[in-house]
Amino acid sequence: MSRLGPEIHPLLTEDVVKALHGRKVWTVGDFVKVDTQQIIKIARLNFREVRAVKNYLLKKFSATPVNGFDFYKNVLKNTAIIPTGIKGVDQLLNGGLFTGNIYELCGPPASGKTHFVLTLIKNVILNMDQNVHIFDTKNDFSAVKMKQMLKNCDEDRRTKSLGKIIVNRCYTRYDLINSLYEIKNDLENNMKLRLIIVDSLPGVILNSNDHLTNNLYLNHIANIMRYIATEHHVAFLVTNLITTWTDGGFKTQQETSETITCGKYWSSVPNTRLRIEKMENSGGCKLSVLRSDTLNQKVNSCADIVPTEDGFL
Amino acid sequence: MNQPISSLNLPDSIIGKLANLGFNYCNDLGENVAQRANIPDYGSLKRAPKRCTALELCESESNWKPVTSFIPQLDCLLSKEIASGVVTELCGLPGTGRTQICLHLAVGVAGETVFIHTNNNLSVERLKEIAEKFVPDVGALMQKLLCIEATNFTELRATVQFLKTWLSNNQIRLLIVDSIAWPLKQQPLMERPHLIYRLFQELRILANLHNFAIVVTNDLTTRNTGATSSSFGDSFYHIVNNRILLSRVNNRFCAKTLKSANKNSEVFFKFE
Repeated sequence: MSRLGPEIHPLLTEDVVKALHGRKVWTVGDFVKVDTQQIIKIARLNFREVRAVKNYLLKKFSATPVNGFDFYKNVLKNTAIIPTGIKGVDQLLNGGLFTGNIYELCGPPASGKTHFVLTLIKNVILNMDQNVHIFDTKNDFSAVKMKQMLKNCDEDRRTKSLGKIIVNRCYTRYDLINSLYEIKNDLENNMKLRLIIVDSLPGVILNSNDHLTNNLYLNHIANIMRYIATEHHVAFLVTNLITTWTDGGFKTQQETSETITCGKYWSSVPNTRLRIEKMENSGGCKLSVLRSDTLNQKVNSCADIVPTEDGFL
Repeated sequence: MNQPISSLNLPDSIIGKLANLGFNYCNDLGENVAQRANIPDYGSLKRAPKRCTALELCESESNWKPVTSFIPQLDCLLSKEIASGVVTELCGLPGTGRTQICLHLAVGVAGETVFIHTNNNLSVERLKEIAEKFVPDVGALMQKLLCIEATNFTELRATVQFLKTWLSNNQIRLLIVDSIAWPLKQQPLMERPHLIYRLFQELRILANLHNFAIVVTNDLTTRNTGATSSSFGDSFYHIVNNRILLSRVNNRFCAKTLKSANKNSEVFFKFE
């Protein structure tokens, strides 16, 4: 809560807050910035009281520095690796999806992004005792299809597994942001969740060509995602689209160029960006790492995966 | 971390006014302040859409009654693809049976179809002919079929707005837009992608609410590389859930899935 109110500190009584608001000291930030002498005059508190309130506010609202070693220990203690269950991909990602990271899977249309997502969900709900949350922006998630993919399990296990998938259909960017904040609140109330999937971010972003506001909302989405990822040790997987453009006309035919949608701003958000593409001749798919903060890309940079009815292998 | 007010669906003027008065986060903004700032329905602004488990979803999906076109071979393919909330695109060259399939579907899902035609393609005579073959009471069917002519993009969007109110009193299972290409081609090139996304966003919200499927038809075009593909590029390809390519050799028609949640398949069929 950044606005000053009587519930923040006992010295900030309603009268004091009213006086401060009257002089346009609205928020905690304003209070800390304004000169102490001036606040003494406005709020009719003594010097020591103002200092005490300022120190209290600074302590409560500022970010706290953490010792590097403690931070490292904390990360080691809380990070989990979620295996994708696809052998080649797990090798590529050093074991699977690391919590605290945002992964992006981008690819041309109909290249197997949603199929990859379904495979990942299937393997996680079968092998881990965790819920999976999926944001579906264009009704691509089919529960019947999921059930078919689980056809090798017995009835009991299938029902239990399907109950672990939480589907959230978001058609607008506002829906998505509100839902992410709702998840944050639930996580603070001890909900257990390790993996959140956003199937198709362009589905809520490309409906406007005002790039300025698009970036604003992408920023909001990135902020809350990063917060959830690091504070609550959750892994994110976002799918994104690659569009192919040809420059020039028929006579001046030039090479085609590829663009990853959602703009340059978004490209810096995911910690690891993966690319999926269909192989023309073999019928399989290739998954490669385009950019990564954490992976050593020189060791291995691509994996071949085979699509089957029950998911990728 | 608190939700900033600027992430809500509010006009910039209101957000700016609130920021000037020190309201930056939703937590600070109570119901009474929202009312004074002329924000209607503040509660629903912050509301997240309902979640459900895949188990519940599975149940409602199983209740979906598959559509039929009265062409058995084609039904094998279509009944798997056309589902509630899903956008299916039929693309093909002229004369490959796009409109014919739409007419067949309109007869097959009798009384629960909205047919939006954009390029004067709807032939009532042909519709009647198909209906006479398969349905006992043609008059009743024709009376219940809602046909809307929308020849440009503005009309198309207005139609969607009209459907919003119309659907609260009527139940449909299928919405057909015969040729999405025609109204879109009238729009400037750079504006097309976001117009498409916005249109489908509105249609999907409606489809999810009222439980119906969407079928659109599209043209083929030649890309610079020489390959033929469906019009409107990759972003359009992304926003549709399924794409079925139609082709024709002599009197034999062929439907092939290019994009689908199921395994890609191909069927051959004939119109009666």
